[in-house]
Parts: sequence; C-alpha cells; structure tokens
Amino acid sequence: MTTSHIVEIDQLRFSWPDMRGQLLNIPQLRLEAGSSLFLRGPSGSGKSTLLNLVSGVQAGYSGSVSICGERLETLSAHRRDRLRADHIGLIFQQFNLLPWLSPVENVALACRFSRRRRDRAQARSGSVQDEAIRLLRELGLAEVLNSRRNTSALSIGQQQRVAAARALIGSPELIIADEPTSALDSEHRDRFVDLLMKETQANGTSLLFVSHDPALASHFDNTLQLDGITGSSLETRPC
Amino acid sequence: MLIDLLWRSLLNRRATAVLSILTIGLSVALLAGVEKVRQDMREGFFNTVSGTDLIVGARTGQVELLLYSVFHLGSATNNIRWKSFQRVANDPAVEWSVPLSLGDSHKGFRVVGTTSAFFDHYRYGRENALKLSAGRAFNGIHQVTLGAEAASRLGYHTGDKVVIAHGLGSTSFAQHKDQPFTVVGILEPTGTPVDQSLLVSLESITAIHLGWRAGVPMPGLSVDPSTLSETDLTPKEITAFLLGMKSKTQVFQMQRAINRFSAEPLLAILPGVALQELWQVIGSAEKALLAVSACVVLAGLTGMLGVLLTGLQQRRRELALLRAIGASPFNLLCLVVMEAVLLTAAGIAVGLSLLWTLLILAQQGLSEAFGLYLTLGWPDGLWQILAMVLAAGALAGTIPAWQAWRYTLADGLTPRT
Repeated sequence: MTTSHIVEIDQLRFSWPDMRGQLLNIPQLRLEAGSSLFLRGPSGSGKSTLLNLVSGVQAGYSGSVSICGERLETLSAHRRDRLRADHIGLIFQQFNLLPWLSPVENVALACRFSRRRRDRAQARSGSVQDEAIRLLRELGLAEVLNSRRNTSALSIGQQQRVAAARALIGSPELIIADEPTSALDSEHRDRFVDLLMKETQANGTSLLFVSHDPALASHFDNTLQLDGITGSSLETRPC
Repeated sequence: MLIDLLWRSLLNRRATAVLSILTIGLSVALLAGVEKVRQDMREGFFNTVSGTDLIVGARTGQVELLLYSVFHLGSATNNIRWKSFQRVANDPAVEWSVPLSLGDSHKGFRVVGTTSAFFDHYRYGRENALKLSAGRAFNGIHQVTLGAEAASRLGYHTGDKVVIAHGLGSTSFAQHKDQPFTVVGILEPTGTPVDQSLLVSLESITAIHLGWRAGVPMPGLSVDPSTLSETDLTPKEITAFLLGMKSKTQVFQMQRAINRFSAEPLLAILPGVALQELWQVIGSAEKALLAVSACVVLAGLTGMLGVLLTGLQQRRRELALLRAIGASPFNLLCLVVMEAVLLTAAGIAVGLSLLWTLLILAQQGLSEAFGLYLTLGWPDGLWQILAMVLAAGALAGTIPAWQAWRYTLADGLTPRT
C-alpha cells in the first residue's frame, strides 16, 4: 500500500440499518497527496456520511477506507480519533468556532489534540501561537489580530477564514471542507475557495471539498458526483 | 489539558454556572449547618455537667435524678437528709461536694439553693468554670446570683429586689414576700440550665421556710427577719448533691458505697452514663434533622443536573466541534463530568464560606435568643459528608456526560440541532 495516496477507498458500501438499497457504493476512489476532489450531490445523497466515514467518526460500512495508509476499519475508535486529529483538518458550513475563544485561540485549538500538528506548527513559526497568527495574516485577517476582536463579532466570511486557518495549522495531509461557502455570497465564496486552494497547494495538502454548487467544480482537479440511494456514479474528470 | 477550555466555556456560561454553584452552595451550607448545630447541641448536652464524677439523690431512676438535679425538669420525689450528705462529703476520697436544694421558683425560673462551692466546682462544656458578668457570687442570706437568661428575660440588674415563690410554676400563690432577696451578681451565659437559675445559699432557703409547714405559712409562726442572724439556718434536708473525687479510680467504689448506704436509700449516678441514656430518648430528632438536610442536598444536586442538561443542549455544537478537531468521546465525557465536579466543589466552597460567615455573625445572637452555643470549630465527619456530596455531584455529572457521549456519536461531525 503506497502512502502517496492520502485517501484510498475500495469497494465501499454503506447503508443505514432501516434503509433499502445502498446510500454509498464507491468501487474505488483515490486522492493523491496535493490533489483536490470536488464532491457534489443533492442533499441526502450521502455526502455528509462519506465525510463521517473518511474522518473516522462513522463506522459500520463494508469495504475499505484508508487515510494516509491506515485502514480505518482496523483501528479502534480511539486510534481513529487520533488519526483525525493528526492528519485531517475540517471546515464546516457554519459554527466552526468556539465563540468564547479568541480567533488565535480557535486556530491553535487544533494543535491541542495532536502532538504531531503542534510540533509541525512550532517547527514552522517557533510557537503554535505565532503559527496561528501567521496563518490568519496569510488569509487576510490581519485586522482581526490587530483589533483583538471577539470571535463572535466576526463576519461569516471572516469566521470561515479563521476555520480555514485552523484546518491548515500544523499542516495536516488532508483538509475536508463540508459546504464551507454556502453561507457566503458569491464574491466572498470565490475569494474563499481561491485562498483555500492557494494555501493547500503551497503546503502540498489534499483537499476534499463538498458542495452542492456546481459552479465551483472548475477549481478542482477531480469531481465526484453522489446520487444517493440509487447508487453513486463515479465520475473522475482530470482537470 | 482540557481544564482551561472548560474554564473558558464556563466563563461564557457564567450566569447559569453561578446559579448552579449557589444552589449547591445553599444546600451544602444547610447540610453542614445542620451537622454543626447537631454536634454542638450534642456536645452542649453531654457537657451540661462536666468535671462532676457522681450525682447523688434520693433513690429513683437515674434519668429522673439527672433530669431534676441538672436539667431542673420535674421534681424530686424525696429529699435526702443533710446528715447523709455530710457523711458522704466528709469521706476522705471526696475532693469536693456541692449540695443542691430545689423546690422554689421565681416567675418560672428555678431557685437553686447551694453553697459557694457551686461557683468553684461546677463545670460545663470543655471544663469551663462559671464566670460573673456583673456583681459577685452570693455570700449571705437573702442574696441571689442570677443566671444569664433569667437576668436578661426578667430585666434584672444588681441591686434589684426579688421575691421568691414557694413551689414551681410561674403563678404560684404562696410567695415568700416577707423575705425579699437582693440581686448581687449575674453570671455569663453557659448554655446550660444554670442560665435559667437563681442561685441562693442553702441558709436562705432554710430562712424563707421558717414558720412554714407543708408548703404554707402557718399563722402566728412568721419570723421576724431581723432575728435570723441568731437562728441556726443549717438545712435539714437537701434535694441532691454533686461529688468530685480525688481520684477517678475511686468513683465506682464510692458509687457502690452510696448505693448501699444504710441510713437512707440513696442513688449515685455517673453523669455521662445517665446523659447517654437520656440522649437515646431525645436523640432520634437529630437523625431526622440530618435526613432532611440530606434531602436538601439531593434537591440542590438535582437542580445542578437540570442546569447541566439544559446547558448541554446548547453546547451540542461545541462538543461536535471539539470532536471534529480530534477530541474523543471519552475526552468530552470527562469534560462534562469535570464540569459537574468543578461546580459541586465551588458550591461546597461557597456553602462553607456562607455557613462560617453566618456562624460568626449569628453566634452571639443565637446564644442570647435560644441558648444555642455554636462554636466555630470544624464538625467531626464533615469532610466525609462533603466528599460524599462531591461524589454525588460527579455521579450526577455522569448523566449529562452519557448524554454528551450519545450526542457526539449520533451527530458525527455535524450536530443536528
């Protein structure tokens, strides 16, 4: 098994206990280091379930899911939690941040559960705090740092960028973004996706990006269309 | 490693957190307060007579003797002869003796005829001697030294005149009007029945009964108070007496000797044993008190549980987010249990500070108003009780923690709220 594949899925089938047919049926999926995949599909098509499977939160599937060469189904729940903390940065649609922590503390939070990411952040900027500040600057949030603004006072666009900084800190191999732009207007949306692409490419990080918005597909190396219960068709399109 | 996160999260929810802490604090203050009052009452009760080795009276039950001689409850069925008292008191093994003559009263307060030895040898609490807050001890006839409560309730000061009634009860018709007493001193509060007593000399008791037969003044036999100094006022009878022995090893020997006294039937009791027997009768109330306060703590913890559970619904997103970042469900479970423990511990601290502040403030007032003497000391076994409260708090925390565990497993990375 080569480790150049960050995500490797083979013969993945998943259905909820009281469900007829398969919610997910993915014969094969590979995500190479540094590449990006756009995951698309209507609501209920199993996008969130696939993300839960890949991030090791959901078990009970058949087939195989590997992250950075580790087969999730062979790991204990605790080891999967560790794997997620070490190798995966997550960005959600909204409510990404703890409102009672400052933006810098929110970014640094990702390093609390992973020694690996803490060490990497320290190696890069000297301290987790400085790395968080560097990333926030990189993502155009210098004014947030200067004004020492409360996290809950940030605009949604700013909050999503803070979340991106948290996903990026400590250079995890994979970033999973679950509809991160759906709360943003189109101008902010494109800016956010551009920034995220730029940062992941600069770090050689793989990106798994979920959205129902087909307009974004052109930014990504590959696209996977999920169709829900009828079974998923895999359409990987080189860019 | 999550403790500072927990702290920041709690700070964010400080209104509800403070509310839980206060709920627990109040119930802990009540529980610890009840325990404190219970132990101090018990202590006070058992130390009503300390330093006395034997109490001697006419033959009766040991609880009865204790009740009428020490607590001034009920009355003696028989008196004992002065000669008997003298024979026991002059025994070489006896270090000191205090005779007591009861049976008269003043406005509901008992008059105790005794000698100055009472002031020297009566001990209460942890070997505390009687102290005067004003004036002096009586040293002649028609002089009275008042207990603290009797003085304050009746509003008497040194120099005031007091008329003693024959018999007990506040509305006695037979009054010793011809021989009024003068208040010469007032004792400091002790928390014992001494506070409700009027202490006079045995000679005074004899004097006011001169010319009386069977509890009523005989016409034509009234005495001229001016001739009293020439009269022999040695009492013929007393009600009971307290004994202190030179050596503790002689106590049982003396008790046996008195109980076999041939001249008249006497009973000698060990105060501690009799107090223990009496406490068994009245002590069940303290257990009920403790049970009630335990229920209050239970109510306090239930309140905290409610606050934690409602808070958890609001925190569902927070927990899902921490899980996404890499916290395991176990981490989150610890977080919630830790929160419950922290709130309970803070509640205990608040409760104890509250209680001791109240104790300091109310100590004086309670002793004056209720004769309840509360010390500032730490009650025995309170650590164990508090540890149990803390454990109960942690246990209560496992319910929302289990709920959090379920949420995080069901929610995956995206909370369904």
